[in-house]
Amino acid sequence: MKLQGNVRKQVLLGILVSTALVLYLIEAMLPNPFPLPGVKLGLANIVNLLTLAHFGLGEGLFVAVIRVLLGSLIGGTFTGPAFIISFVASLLSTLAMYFFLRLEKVFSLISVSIVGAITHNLAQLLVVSILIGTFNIYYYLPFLLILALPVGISTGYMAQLVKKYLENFQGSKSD
Amino acid sequence: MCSLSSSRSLRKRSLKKILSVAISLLVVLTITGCSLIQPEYEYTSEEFIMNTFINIKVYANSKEKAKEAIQKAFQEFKKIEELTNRFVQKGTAEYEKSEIIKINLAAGQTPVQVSEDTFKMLSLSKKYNKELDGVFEITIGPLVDLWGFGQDKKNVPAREQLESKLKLVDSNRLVLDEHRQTAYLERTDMSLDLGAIAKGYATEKAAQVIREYGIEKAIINAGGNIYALGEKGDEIPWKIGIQDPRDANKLLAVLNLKDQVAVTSGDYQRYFEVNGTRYHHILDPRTGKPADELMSVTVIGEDSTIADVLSTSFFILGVEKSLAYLKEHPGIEAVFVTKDQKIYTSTGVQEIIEFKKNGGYIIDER
Amino acid sequence: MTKGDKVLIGSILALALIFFGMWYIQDKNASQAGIAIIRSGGKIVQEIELDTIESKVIPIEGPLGISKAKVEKDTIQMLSSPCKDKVCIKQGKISTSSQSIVCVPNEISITIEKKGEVDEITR
Repeated sequence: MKLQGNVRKQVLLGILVSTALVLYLIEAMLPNPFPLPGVKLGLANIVNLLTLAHFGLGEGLFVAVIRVLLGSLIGGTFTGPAFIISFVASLLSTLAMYFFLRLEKVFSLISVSIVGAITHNLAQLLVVSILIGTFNIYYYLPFLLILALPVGISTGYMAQLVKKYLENFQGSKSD
Repeated sequence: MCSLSSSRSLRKRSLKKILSVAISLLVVLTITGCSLIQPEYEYTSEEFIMNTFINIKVYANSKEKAKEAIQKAFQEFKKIEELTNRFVQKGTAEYEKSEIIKINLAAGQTPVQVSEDTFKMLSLSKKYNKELDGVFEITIGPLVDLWGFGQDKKNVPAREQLESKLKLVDSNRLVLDEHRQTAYLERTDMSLDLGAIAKGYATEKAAQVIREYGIEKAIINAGGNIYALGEKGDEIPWKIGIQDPRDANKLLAVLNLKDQVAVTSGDYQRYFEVNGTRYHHILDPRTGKPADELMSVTVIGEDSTIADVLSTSFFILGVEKSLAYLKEHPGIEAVFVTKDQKIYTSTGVQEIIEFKKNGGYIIDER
Repeated sequence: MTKGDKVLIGSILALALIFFGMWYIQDKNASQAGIAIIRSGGKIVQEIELDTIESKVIPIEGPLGISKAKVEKDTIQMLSSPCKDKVCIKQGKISTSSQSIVCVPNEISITIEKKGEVDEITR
């Protein structure tokens, strides 16, 4: 299989979006182990992280946004409050992860993923508090921080494992 | 990408490392709690001045500033107390400093030159005496003394006594000279009592001092006169409770105030009972007796002096006349509690009040 | 895992502990029963003094349907909800002013405020 660089990239992005979507839908079917609004495993974030690491900010945002759009269309929450919440949260966490990815000398994908999880959940809580009226975010902060650790470490670790295969698939990195 | 790092100098690399750790920590701190970055010190202090507890709470970005502002604010209260106090022992330093005692002693004899603060209080009092049909009366000293309020010799005076003292109560016979800044009581036995304005004036001065320190968030409680400076949080008002006039542990309602004052006059603040009848300290200068329509009135406004003056005046005037006055004076609101357990409010109050579910009171909304 | 990872994880743990500590202190101060404020779509629909009710089920209308909350022994919890993930039910009983229950899909929130929470009293 020898595809031209641009086509290869398009194919790969398509695969990434659909993988993210599948992971998201599978997770939606499973019961949420965390009794907190907005906190979940975030399996789809593995794909976001990989895209960011492999391609860059533009592609990372693309996969994140398309995933949220398609996910809400399939789940029937499009333009509803749940859609707005996950849209904002995805955008912010992608940006935060991109920032930390640039510090790859200091942080591995695990840190990037933890930061992504914290930003994602915090953004969700902020949007929720705006949409629903005031409520005490402060109360959730410690839980949110603690829970971001197992979530971030596990998804970050998985992303690290998959990253090698992705690089193999691509052969050499695109610029 | 990784190959690039080897070409960089070691110094640059460690610098980058430190910088990145610092930035990441900053990001984590910023997203988890802005309060860690912008400190707000709360500083509270309480002193017994003007026969009551004055509590000042200040929020500032430095402890030293907050402390200093509070100290200066208390000084204002002490200064006004010194000028207006009239129940101090003869021969003491306080006796010499009291300008009200000086004016009272010189009544019928000679005008007394006074400080700017005293003159301001006196001229404001005269102005409101005219505006409010004579119910606001600082020449009420002889009546207060007759009833024994202020000296703990409380008694119910006989009618003849009341009538003779009533003749001495007349603000028209308080002569003020703006150029010389003097005050003169025309009849020998007349005497001033600034009890209904001094606390409000002092609170206003104290709040001014706190503002001059650049402090935008503070709350002054001068024995139930509340000055709510600024707001509690972004778009969050101060919550000021109105006490149930018959149960000190209960609230009648809660007011949402921003940069406003709330002053209450009530028949429960200072009173004595004889044979089951309550005699309180707010005397109607027209009859010489305690005003008897209301249990309490709370005035909400922007100026503490005016709110203090009006709360006493409204208590004497009653609901109807007070509401008529308020119609012509926007920016001032009031909550009245009558003796027949009805609550009346001015129209503007409805947006800032939450009534508590409390036994017995009927809210009359008009 | 790099050194930076460990530093980050350590500081997050420390921060969480600090917050837990602050929350614990606040909770201790707010031990008395409060008023549950129920909002639907951001608007307050009901206020309930928790200590005046022995046991009661309260229906709350949201865009998806009726959620039911239960008040019992100074606490309130979500009993049933037409939403999919039931996160609000899993949040369990709440009783102090730092706690809240939120149901995002049905746009309902329950918060608790301290009773008679005023800054000063005019008298």
